[in-house]
Amino acid sequence: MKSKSLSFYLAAGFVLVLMAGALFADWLAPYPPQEEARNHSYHPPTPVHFRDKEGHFSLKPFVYATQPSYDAYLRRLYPEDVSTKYFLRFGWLKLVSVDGPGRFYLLGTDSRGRDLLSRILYGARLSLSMALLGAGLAGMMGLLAGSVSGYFGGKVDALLMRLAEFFIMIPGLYLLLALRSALPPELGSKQVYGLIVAVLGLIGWGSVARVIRGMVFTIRERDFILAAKVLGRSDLEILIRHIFPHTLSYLAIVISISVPGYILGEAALSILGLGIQEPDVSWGNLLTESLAIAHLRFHPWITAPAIFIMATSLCFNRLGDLLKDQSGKS
Amino acid sequence: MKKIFEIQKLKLGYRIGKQIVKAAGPVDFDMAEGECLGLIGESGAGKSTLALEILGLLQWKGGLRISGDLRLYISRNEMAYIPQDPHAALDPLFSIGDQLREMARDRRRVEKVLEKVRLPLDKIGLKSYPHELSGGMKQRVLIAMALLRQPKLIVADEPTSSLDVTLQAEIMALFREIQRSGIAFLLVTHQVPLTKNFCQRAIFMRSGSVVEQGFLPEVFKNPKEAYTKALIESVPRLCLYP
Amino acid sequence: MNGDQDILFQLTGVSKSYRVRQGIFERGKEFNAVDHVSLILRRGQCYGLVGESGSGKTTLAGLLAGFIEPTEGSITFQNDLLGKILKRNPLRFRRKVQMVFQNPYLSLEPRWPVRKILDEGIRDLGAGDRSMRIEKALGLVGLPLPYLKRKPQELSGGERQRVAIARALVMEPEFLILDEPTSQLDVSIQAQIVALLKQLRTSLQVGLLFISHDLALVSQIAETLLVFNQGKLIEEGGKRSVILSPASPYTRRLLDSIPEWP
Repeated sequence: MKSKSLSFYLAAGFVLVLMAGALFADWLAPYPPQEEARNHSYHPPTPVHFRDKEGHFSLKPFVYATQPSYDAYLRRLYPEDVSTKYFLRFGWLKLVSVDGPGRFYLLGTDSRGRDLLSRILYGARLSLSMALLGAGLAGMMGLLAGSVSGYFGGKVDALLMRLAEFFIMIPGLYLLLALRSALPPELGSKQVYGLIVAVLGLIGWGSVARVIRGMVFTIRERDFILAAKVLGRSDLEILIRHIFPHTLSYLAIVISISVPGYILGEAALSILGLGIQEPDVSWGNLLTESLAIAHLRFHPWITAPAIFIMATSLCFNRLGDLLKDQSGKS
Repeated sequence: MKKIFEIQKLKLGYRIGKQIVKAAGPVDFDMAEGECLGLIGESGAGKSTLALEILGLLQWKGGLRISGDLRLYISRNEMAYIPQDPHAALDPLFSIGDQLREMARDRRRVEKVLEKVRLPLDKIGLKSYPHELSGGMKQRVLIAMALLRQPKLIVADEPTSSLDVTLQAEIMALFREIQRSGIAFLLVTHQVPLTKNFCQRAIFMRSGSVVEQGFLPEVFKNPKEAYTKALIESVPRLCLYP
Repeated sequence: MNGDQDILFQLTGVSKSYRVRQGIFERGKEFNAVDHVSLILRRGQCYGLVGESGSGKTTLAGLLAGFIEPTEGSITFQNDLLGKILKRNPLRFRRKVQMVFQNPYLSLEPRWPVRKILDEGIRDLGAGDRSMRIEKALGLVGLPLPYLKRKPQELSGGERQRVAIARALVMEPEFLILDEPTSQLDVSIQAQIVALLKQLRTSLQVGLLFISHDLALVSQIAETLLVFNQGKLIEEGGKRSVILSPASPYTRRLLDSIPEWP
């Protein structure tokens, strides 16, 4: 492989860290995702101090306890009680924890006092996995359909391509909504998860199939394919041993570039309340609280999941771009 | 005997990434006016690179002169180029009439030249487009364009390698006619037999260096270097046995 | 004497036509890449097919190798219809007739090691048998064993073409179709490949169909010449008689166009 640029390492690094974060959420998240603290509703991110009010510097970071109170507009305030320092503890069971009334809310809390960072980490599990599975499913279905279409041509090709065009035509979000509403609202979360992944795959396979078909058209005329035929290899063998490997570079690119779309798709569904439901956490349903302007105005930290969605989308797009450049050069 | 150019210790190369890769050189040879010189070599010999530098086109192709001297005794306006692939050398968007007119405004001159290259004007009008012409006809248009420059030197780079053998014979016959009118020819080719009844002298190149040069047909009869001998012997001759 | 037993291929009135589409709405003109060709190829013989561009020589190669189906006429192999053989018992044909393609840069999977390339045709045989055939074929084309690990992208044009020939030889065929096997190679390498083919002919007694636009080249190796033009078989005959007394004016033109050599 040619030398990779800085942005590749940054993008890949971020994605890997995110995946690790999702995987190791139990260790990384300071609090369980469902743990509520009603007296800390809409708590802003806790300031972490290294220097106390007298000016003494301490290597170990600490936080102060906070007292819920209200201001003149009945907005919640959380002034710090500087009498006691609560040092942050770093450990094997939990990366960061803190004693007693001290709380470590790196990204603040929501209406029920649930730590946003923890919920984002746990939410990453669902959001990322759904997007990757959806993209993977669309990729596989597209690969299969496109290869069969391009290799055999004729009626099979015509049929498959009309099918693909049909699915491309359907606006994805509406398909999701339609399917979701056609099914009983009390679907268990596992079924909703499976449904979303299946629908994401259904939306995406069409455009993948079309491009793969074009690629296969070119590849199948190459002499090494003819040679395989002359050597007596069956069509299935030729498809698997020759044609698929040549489409892999494109597949990697298309999967990478489509992941952001799927993340947003899931988020859109969940914001509307039709996707992942409480008590499960996904980036989408974390954003339901951001819908009201009042929250944005007074508790802006509530939009943190959106920043994560944005950053993840950017990284996957960048990875896809870089993969495209690589395949162009080789 | 007036010279057209002198080449001394010329080294040419291409820039690939950050490095400069030598393609030809150091090379020494001259060419006289009215002469027909063959530049013979297999792929990668550096002959096309040399031809491009003589024409002043090497920089366009991403090449450069590393060192050495190319002394020209005629101006570049008195040189013409017939490129290798006739299918790629004509602009598909313009009619052949338009492209010929780029070389010369005088319509009568254009028609005379087209007659000379035996382009059947009754079948192929000046308004026709390149894609309507066969490979051989395109090549004739390119030769016509070269002739319209009234050159003293025509550099032809593998002018017949994409053509059928029957067309090849016709094009070579045309070249012979043109050469008889005093125009010098630099024929760059890997097909050794083409130079036999056409070039007076030949330069054999391999991997960027000149292996041997001399007058034809002497070099064919008595090649001095092993490589030249092997090259000459590998050319397939019509064989009636076994 | 030549009897029916000797016949490998028999083509009777074989045509292959294609439709060239002119525009979105036009049906397009039909043209015959191969036009009503009848000929017989016998076992163990060496044929040279000469044709310029558009003569249909590559299409004919495809018809004989079985990956192009004729639109008219019949092709029989050992007196059975080729189409039927390919459906019922394709390996019977594939083990006997193999092909070497024109462009060694495109006829080998660039990222497969040579061993995998040579192994492809014989995957259903036992491991010992396969190894033996692969090593034998490699030796026949003059490449040393370490080449088995290398990949086409590391090899020169001539070496790649040798691998392509070895790939065909691994099947232990009786007949080899070679479609312009040297046109992408330098003339000195071309001579080496022709010498190799002549050697294989004597040592393996394999029949050849050498296709090229270069009549002088074809005459180096062929015994019988087939001259094609625009899809039609113009002339057929022993090398000497075709060259010394060509029957067709096209053949005469072809012979006259060959640049004088030596």
